[in-house]
Amino acid sequence: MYTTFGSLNTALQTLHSMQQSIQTSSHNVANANTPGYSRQSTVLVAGHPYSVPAMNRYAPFGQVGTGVVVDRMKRFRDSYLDTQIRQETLARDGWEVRRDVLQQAEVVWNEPSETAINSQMSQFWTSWQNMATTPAETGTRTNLLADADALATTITDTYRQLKDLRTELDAQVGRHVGSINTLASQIASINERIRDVEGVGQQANDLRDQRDQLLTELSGYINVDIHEGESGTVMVSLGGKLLVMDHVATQLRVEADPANGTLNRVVWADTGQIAQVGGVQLAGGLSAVAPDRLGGKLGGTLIARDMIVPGQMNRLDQIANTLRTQVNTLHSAGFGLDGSTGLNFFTGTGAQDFAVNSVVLADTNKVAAAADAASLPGDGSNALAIARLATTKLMNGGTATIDQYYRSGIAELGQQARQAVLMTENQDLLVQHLEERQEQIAGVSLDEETTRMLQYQHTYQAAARVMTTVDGMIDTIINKMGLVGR
Amino acid sequence: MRITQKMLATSALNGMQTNLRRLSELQRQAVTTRRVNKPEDDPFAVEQSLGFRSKIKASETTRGNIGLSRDWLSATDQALDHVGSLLNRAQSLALQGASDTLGDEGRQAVSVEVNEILEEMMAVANTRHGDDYLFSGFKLSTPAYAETRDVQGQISSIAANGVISGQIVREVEPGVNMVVNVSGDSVFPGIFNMLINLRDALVQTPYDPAALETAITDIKAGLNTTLDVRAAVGTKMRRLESATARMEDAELGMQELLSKAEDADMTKVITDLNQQKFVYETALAVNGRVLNTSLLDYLR
Repeated sequence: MYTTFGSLNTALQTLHSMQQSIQTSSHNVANANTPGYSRQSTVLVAGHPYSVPAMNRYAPFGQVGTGVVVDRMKRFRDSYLDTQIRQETLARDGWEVRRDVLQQAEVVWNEPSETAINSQMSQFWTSWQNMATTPAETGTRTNLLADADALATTITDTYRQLKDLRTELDAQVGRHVGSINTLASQIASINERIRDVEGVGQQANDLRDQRDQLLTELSGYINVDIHEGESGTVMVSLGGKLLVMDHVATQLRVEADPANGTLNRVVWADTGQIAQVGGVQLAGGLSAVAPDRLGGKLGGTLIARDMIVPGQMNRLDQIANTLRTQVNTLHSAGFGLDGSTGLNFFTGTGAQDFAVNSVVLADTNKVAAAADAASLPGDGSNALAIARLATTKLMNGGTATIDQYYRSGIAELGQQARQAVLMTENQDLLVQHLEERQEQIAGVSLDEETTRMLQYQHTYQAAARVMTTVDGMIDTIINKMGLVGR
Repeated sequence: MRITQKMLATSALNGMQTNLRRLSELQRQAVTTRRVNKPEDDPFAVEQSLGFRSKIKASETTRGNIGLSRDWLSATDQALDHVGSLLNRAQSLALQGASDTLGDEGRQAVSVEVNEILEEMMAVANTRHGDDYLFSGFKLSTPAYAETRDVQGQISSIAANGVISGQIVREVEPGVNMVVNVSGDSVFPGIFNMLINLRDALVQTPYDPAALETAITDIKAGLNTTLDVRAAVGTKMRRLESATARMEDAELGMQELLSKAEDADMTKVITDLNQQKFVYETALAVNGRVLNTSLLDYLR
């Protein structure tokens, strides 16, 4: 038994469903370029059919359909791909920081160039050679002091720039921790909203997009573990301690690390404990495994601050210390033109305050080129001995000259930078590839949406036509029937 | 596989970025004519090129200093040449003085000439090269010898001005030392004494031919010593010359290696640049056509 009004209702439901579908398409088109947006679609299902009520069921008639309903809003997204994207983003952002720092260090060292340390150093050694040849000439002495002063200044200047770089990285640690806190709070607050929406059986598609986006962003900072719970909320933990749980975010903060020259270390705001990742504390004294275990902007910054930059500062210290002690030992045993002896050529305690002794710098006669007071002024043998330090293997336990040690440092820096550039590029390609795969699933195709809209539009028009038809039928029944013979 | 407009746009952007990056790298190489500008461009080449630069610099300096040493030796050689010709003159004067035909007056005249030679010899012993005394050992700024004169103003004796035996050692090749000076001690003392004796023997009364004989023998000995010293100086000069030539060759070789390590192969760079430009233009053309199409163009 069918009802005429039943058909009207079916047509009405069709109009509603098609409207909602077009609304969804419109939403998709609107967000075609929104980062993190996942395409949605209405899941259309046939309405509940009913059996025609009858005393004696007449077999050939089955159930009668009641039209279409929108069952739910489907969100297209592969959450496993998201997990992979986060892992690779973590690695990429960590390498990116290291790449940037290494490239900045390359600018600081400024090799190869005519003004950097390598060139200054060979200038310094050749000046001693000249000194050995013409020890009695004031011009030679003036040149030597100028060259030595230039070398010392370049070394202290390079050291200072590396130190500035480290200070800047330390400030970045603080900024990154701030970003992590903000992201954690945002995730916690979205958690709460998703729980409220999904608790009543709806799909919080757009909120999930936002949260996924925030989680990916968070993974760009530091290694975190993400688990989705039953009620649609996620738990985020950092080194086994919960950063986000339900609607609560535990904050991190930075504090001066007394064991690491008062540079920042990362601690939990609630317990004051040092935060850690994979057994590596986010504080000074990073172990050799840190580069393998720490990722993201914060991890990369800590590695750069506590491993990469200090390694280079240490190299410069080694060079300054060896130059100072070796040259001083020889120089203080020699004699200046005025008979002075026992004077150090360099002063300082490392690369930081490496300088030519001001007493020598002020008086060219104090340069001790002669080996003996009796052999003044023509003897340059002490200067020759100093010049020969250039080719003496003084570094790395007697396996490298100072110049070689310096150059291998530059080569190592180049290798590291090259590796970081390649790794960043590779990781970036990986992330791009994964994002493309996610885009295949979640991305909005304008052609597709246009096609769907046409489909929906036509269905809408047909449903309207059904209404008109039914309307005509009712009109026929009400207004035109029973008029026979009138 | 679903393809979305965003994927097309992203791959267009990425492709253009990659192309532009390659293009800019090639442009940098073409403009700077250098293949490596940063350690990361080629760490090994940078390490090498830094090493070559230092070595070339050191070699150039050593060569410059060898030049100075050679000048010094050459000045010494000239002075010794002068000593030799003075001794030859003294020898012929002594033989003339020893001749029986010469009377007291004649010998007196010869003696005056010998005295002049002595004065000249004294000047040679105190020769300067630039500001430095050649034969003073380390005492570059003081004359090697000082004379004592009698009441007539004649040189009665000559003595070294302090210690002049200092040996000036210079590095002439990496790790190789050479004594570049000749101390007056090894040349002059005997000569001075012999000249003074000869001068005095010529005017001695009574005249003693035996004293002249001794002087003639001594002059021969002095000539031999001078020749020996001069030969040694000549050998050193030749050694320095060959060292300079060797170092010049080595420097050329290192320059070549340096260039190989850090210079761009311009032919290759320009070829690559053209090719890359073509690739980039193709990418732009393709993107321009693909990104412009949409289903909407074909609906009503």
